[in-house]
Amino acid sequence: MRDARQTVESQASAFELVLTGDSTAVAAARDRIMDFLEEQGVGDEEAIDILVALQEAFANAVLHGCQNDPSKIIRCSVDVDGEAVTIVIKDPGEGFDTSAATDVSDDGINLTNHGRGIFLMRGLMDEVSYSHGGSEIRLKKLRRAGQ
Amino acid sequence: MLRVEIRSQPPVATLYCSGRIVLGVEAETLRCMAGSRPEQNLIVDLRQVQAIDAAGLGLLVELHCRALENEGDFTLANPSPKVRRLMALTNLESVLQFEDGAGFELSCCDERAMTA
Repeated sequence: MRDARQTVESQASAFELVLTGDSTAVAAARDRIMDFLEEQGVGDEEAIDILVALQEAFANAVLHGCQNDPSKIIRCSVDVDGEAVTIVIKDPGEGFDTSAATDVSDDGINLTNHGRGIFLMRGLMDEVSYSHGGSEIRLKKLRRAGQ
Repeated sequence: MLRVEIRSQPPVATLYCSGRIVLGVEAETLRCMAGSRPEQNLIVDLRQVQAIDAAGLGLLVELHCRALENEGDFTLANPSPKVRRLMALTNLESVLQFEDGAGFELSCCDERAMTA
């Protein structure tokens, strides 16, 4: 974790984290959440998908919601139960038109160096939804039986 | 963290990556090291890459397009099933060139390494 700029409160299977809105804070926050999921017994296969989706969600929050500004704050909550892992990330930005967000061209191929994040999240998670005009994202990954 | 080791056998340079190719200093490091190579053909070996994100995938597409502009080849070698799955999810498998085992037997004419 990054000194006093991030705070962590952990209770049972719920976890909350606040990080600064710059890219240097992402890796530590992401790794802390992954540690928490491991403590909760989330399996490797689910964890890999969550890791990538989490990276994308934080990257979008930092770049689009915070303009990579460390004076801004991103809030994240993680809930784990027997059915699913649910992650909510809220940034202070104005959001975006989620219905207009496209990741690929009509032929399904994107040859630019951006625009794959939402596509990846949708492919890796069981549910991806937005609220507050797009400034809050909710990611849900169902857990395999037996975990 | 990302570590990149370069071996040159003109006109081919092989960039051996280990770690994560993700947004931030890791992706920028690979961009700088690949962009500075004078060789016409690049191989990026992904055998030791544990994770890649959209920024990393975008960088690979960028390097692919740059190679095309320079009439060179850009090849991805030995991606793990995890990395390959992400490429499939983003429809990049039909765009990028893959070769398992490529680059591993190159003799070492020029070697540099950088860790980010």
